Amino acid sequence: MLIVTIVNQRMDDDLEEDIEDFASLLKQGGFGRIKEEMLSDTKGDEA
Amino acid sequence: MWKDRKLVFATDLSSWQGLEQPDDELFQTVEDDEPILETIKLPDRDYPLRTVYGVIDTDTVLQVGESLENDEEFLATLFKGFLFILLVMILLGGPIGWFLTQRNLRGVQEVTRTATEIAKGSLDRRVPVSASGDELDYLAQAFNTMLDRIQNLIYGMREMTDNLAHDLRSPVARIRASAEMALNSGFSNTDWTTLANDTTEECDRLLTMINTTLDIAEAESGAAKLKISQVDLVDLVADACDLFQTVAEDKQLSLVSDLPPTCRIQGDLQRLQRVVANLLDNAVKYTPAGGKITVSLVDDEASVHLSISDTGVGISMQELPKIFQRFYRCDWSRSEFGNGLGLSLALAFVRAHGGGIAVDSTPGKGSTFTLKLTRPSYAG
Repeated sequence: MLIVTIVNQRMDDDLEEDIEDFASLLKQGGFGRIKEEMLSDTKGDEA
Repeated sequence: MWKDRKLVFATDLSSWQGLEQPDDELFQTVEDDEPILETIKLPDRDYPLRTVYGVIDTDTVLQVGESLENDEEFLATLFKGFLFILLVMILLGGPIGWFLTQRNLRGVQEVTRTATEIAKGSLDRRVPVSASGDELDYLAQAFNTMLDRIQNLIYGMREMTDNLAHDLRSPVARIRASAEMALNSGFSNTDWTTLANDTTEECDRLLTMINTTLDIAEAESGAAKLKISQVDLVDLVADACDLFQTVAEDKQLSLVSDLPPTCRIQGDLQRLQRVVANLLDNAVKYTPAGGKITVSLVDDEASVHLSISDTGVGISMQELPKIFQRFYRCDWSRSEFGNGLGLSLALAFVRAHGGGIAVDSTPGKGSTFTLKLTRPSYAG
């Protein structure tokens, strides 16, 4: 149970970190930069 | 990504069919508070989606998600691994536990087997000790040491009872013979008196033997109540020498003493008198005519050494360890009157005083018995 909790928590932390990263990317590079990054990321399985 | 709650950009969502547009309530919550995390189960996906909604700019909400496929597969693999290890532990743990238990029990079984054989009479049996040095080896060694001690005690008791039976048989046989003779008629009054005197003498001898045995047992057990007083050993030894001087002269022995002016110790006068008398009695008894007996006393403040040396028959190396045993008599001493209790009594009394007796002897040349008494203030 402890391992399951740790794995889930790590996933949530990663997702929240993504939000923060995109927020700072938007401020720095504008809308175009964030679109590029999102398309690049979705070559994997993210949406 | 939504701007003013209107979708402005989305990546390819063909793999995420069925993903719904968030409602106003969710937008409101995200805009007011922290990011919202939720797990979404999509109809055409085997694994759920973990997603987060967060504000990345004014009125701009971003949804990011990731399939839980990797995590769930990792957890499933981990679970299978644990299950496998658990299974291996159960499969191996049983036999290993059984093996270890058997190995340890084998040592205990050896002890049990040995104890059973000893109970059946094999007193010389011992538990085998391996070189592993484990707790069972310590147990086996302690058990064997205990068996050695018990065996020595039993053999000692056997020897003592053999000697006791031997020494009791003669006086009892003599008393019985006297009684049988008394049954015959034709005895004069003088004969009756002689028989009665003989019987009384034998009974006194038996009583002396029994009382001496009890005195030894009492002293050895520590139950003897010593009447401690200040004793001048010089006076005590001088009186004893005077007492034995006549007997020594009768046997054409020279009895000389080398004593300091005084030597005071704390002790039981009567018991110390019996110790000195027994040692002197032995010296006189076992020194042939023309021999010499020397009594010397050395006081070095810490302890007192009283030596009684004779030029008598001496004691062999084989017999030396046994001379203080009750009822033990050297072969050559059986011709002399005695019960084999004198030295046992002397040693028991000296030990009751916290001292000891040492013997140095050469067969054919003589013996020296040295009694050592330590003054309590110097005792370690």
